[in-house]
Amino acid sequence: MRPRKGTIGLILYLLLLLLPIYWMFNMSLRTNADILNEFALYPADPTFANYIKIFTDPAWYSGYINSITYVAMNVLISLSVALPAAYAFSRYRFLGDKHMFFWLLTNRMAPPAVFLLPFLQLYSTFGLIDTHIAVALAHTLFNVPLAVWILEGFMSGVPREIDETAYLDGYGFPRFFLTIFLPLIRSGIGVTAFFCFMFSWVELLLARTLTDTVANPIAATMTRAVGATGLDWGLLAAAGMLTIVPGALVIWFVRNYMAKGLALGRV
Amino acid sequence: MAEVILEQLCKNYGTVEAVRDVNLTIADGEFVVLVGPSGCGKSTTLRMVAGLEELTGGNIKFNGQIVNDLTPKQRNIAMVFQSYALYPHMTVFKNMAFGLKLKGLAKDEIKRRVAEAAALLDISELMDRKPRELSGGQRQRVAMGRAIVRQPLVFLFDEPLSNLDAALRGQMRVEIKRLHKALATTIIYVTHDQIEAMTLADRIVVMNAGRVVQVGDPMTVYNRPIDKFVAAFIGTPKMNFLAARLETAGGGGLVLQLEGGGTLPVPESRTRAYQPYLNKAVEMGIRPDHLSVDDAGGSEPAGFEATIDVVEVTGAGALAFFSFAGVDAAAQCLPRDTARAGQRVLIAADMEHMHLIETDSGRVVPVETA
Repeated sequence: MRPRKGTIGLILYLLLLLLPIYWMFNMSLRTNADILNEFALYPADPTFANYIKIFTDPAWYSGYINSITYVAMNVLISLSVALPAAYAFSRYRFLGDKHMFFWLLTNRMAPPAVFLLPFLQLYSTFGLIDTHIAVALAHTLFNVPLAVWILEGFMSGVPREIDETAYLDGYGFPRFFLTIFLPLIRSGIGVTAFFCFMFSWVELLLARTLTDTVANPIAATMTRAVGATGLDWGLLAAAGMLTIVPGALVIWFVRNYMAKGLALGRV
Repeated sequence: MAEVILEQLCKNYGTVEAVRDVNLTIADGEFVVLVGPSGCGKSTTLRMVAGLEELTGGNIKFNGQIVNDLTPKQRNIAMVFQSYALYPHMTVFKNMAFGLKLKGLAKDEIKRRVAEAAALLDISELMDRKPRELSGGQRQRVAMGRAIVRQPLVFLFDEPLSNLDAALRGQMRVEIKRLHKALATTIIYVTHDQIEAMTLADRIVVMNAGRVVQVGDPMTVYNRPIDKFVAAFIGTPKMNFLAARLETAGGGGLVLQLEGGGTLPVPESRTRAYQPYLNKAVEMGIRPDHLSVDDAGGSEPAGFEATIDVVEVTGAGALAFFSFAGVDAAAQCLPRDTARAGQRVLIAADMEHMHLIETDSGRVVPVETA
């Protein structure tokens, strides 16, 4: 069977899309000298030296640990704040609820740089500079609103009668919420966690400014790979590859719910 | 098993009065249907009985004991919702067993009760399925099963059949009726479908705009509606309302002079009751069943002339629709009368079944029961 035009187009598109990533992968398996000397479509003499260096040098791998730490903290905080808030928005009518719901989203309209100065001053006052929690908290400003929006969509998809049935069955609110309601919106929670993760994982400006040495993220470590001897290409490429991995993993887990999540749970 | 009493029940949402001064005594084991158009307060009333809405005023008593401040659980009621409200992530068995587990019943007892209810509802082979693998009718059965296993004092049904198609609705109606016979538990059932109300209820409670308009057994509500609202709401096809004037006839009897032309004699038995309305504008209410397109016109029956617009064949019978003095009305005819659309015909009225309605208040003038 001859491949159809559309198929060919898609394959071409995919190739172009993956080319930069492949190129990075290619570079990550070569030595600096090799990279600078000749153009090669594939590593003739692949080496894992770059990866080994990252996994053995604390200056490098602690960057990953720091990033993962504050991202995880941020996801946990965002979810635990957004879940009750989203439930309130989806189930109750109160004064100004619609305005407040919209106002939440406006928080995301400001670029992170706007908050840089106030954050810096506040955090240094409280002695939080260069801690994981500082970055995690800073990111919640952007993630909580989004999380509330996504979760509210998913929660509103659960009929209110489910809540009421649970009360009739004799459930108190906390147990209902944990054992019935959360399992019903678990895909929404997954998608929300993904979006929080994504923002926090790639956000560089706040993360870099609020940290120094103890809690600095991997992206900051990477910008510091420019030494007196020039750029360490292979090492940077390897670090870049490793930075993609966690995101790819998370996407893999929530791939079936992505579209719904992007529509803020309103599909 | 419980007698349920509602005393001066009120519910306000801000300034909106959803339910006003509802008084009702429901006997133990009675099947009561609250019926009315959407927004009439019937669901709110039910939810107050369930304990899902707080009362603004009044009392709810189960077996003489005030339950106003009890939680839904403490009231020991079971409710079936229109949307079934099954837990989607649990199997049918778990859905049904859930409430029992919380009550702390022993495993064997739970199994026994679920099996019993499942047998009663014919869903025994569905026990391991998830709700999404069930059809609408099966889901509704599971929802009812979940209610049954709890052995509640009162069953509350909130428009349980509204999501089902017509055929299934008819079938489920029969099953609910059968279930009530088998269990003999008090049932309060809310619907906007007057056919459900007529077929299921021991007593119908017609509500409108937050108030109870009429309470009575189905045939009473059907035959002796208290006002125009009930007359129009109960019964399909809808009752016809024709503007008329009450006048004296030659022999001392009364006649209705229809606005659209035609004179109809009022039955003698009603002369006394209708006397006060002599020479006043009134409305005559009469069901299509008691109007018929007269074929032969043989012995000069009581009737009026109208032009048929459309004839709707239902199978055994047919309905002729016509416009009379600007009002849409319908009358019975024979299926073979289809061809007569557009013709001018004599429509005969069976005046024994007429209702006289005060034009201003909408009240149906009561007549002595024979």
